[in-house]
Amino acid sequence: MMDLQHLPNARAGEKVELFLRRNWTTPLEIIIYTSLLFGVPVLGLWLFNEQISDWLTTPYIGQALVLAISAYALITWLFAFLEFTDYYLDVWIVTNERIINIEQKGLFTRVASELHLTTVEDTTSEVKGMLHTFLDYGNVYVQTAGERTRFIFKNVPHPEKVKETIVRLTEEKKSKITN
Amino acid sequence: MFTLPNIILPIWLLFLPFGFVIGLFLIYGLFNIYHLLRFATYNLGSYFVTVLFIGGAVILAAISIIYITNYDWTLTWNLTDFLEFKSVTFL
Repeated sequence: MMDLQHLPNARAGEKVELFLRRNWTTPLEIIIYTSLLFGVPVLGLWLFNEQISDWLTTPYIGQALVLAISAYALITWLFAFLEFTDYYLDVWIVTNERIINIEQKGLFTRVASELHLTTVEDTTSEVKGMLHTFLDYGNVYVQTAGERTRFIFKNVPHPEKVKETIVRLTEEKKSKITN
Repeated sequence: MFTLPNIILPIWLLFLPFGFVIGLFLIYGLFNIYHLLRFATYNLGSYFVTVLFIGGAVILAAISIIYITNYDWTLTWNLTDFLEFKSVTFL
């Protein structure tokens, strides 16, 4: 497990300023989709209770139906867990020295990269959409001077504050080096 | 005159695709738990969700087992009867 007090390759005096995940609406979406995927068939079973009961007591059809329902329930539960893991393992860590971007892409792909604050040239926050505006979450783009693809903090809460924090830390770091 | 061979399939053959699904569930589920334990930050949240997932899986498996054991899996399915029924229906 990752310990925020002991980041890999930590420098002396490095401390975590921001630890970010996607906004709470992401796990809420997972809960809603999972509830629908479970709830709609349960509703169907309840509405067509007599017909379903007939089928369940019919030889051959009953066995096939039970196995199909069981497989569906287990796969739905698994997908909910997979989606949660994907959300939970996508993190952005901003310290007073660097920015660490860790993204879980699917189950078997994990991308971790970091850039030092002295290389940050441009930071942009973006809030698009009604829900994003009301709940104050959006994207933050961090661009370096090099050819590296910019970091994108996806759907993080309070993107404007995140941007201001990164800008402040970058200026502090650059002024320390200059002095 | 063409006569159909007597095709008899045991109903427990349905466990083969079901077993495949269970295998996928176990592999992906275990990998997922491994990822959470290995890469997540020290946090109650990841432990809670892992326990919730395992608990939910156990409950679903238990309910499935209760229903599955209610059936007679020694039955056989005579495909020939089914095919002959269909040919008579269409004639």
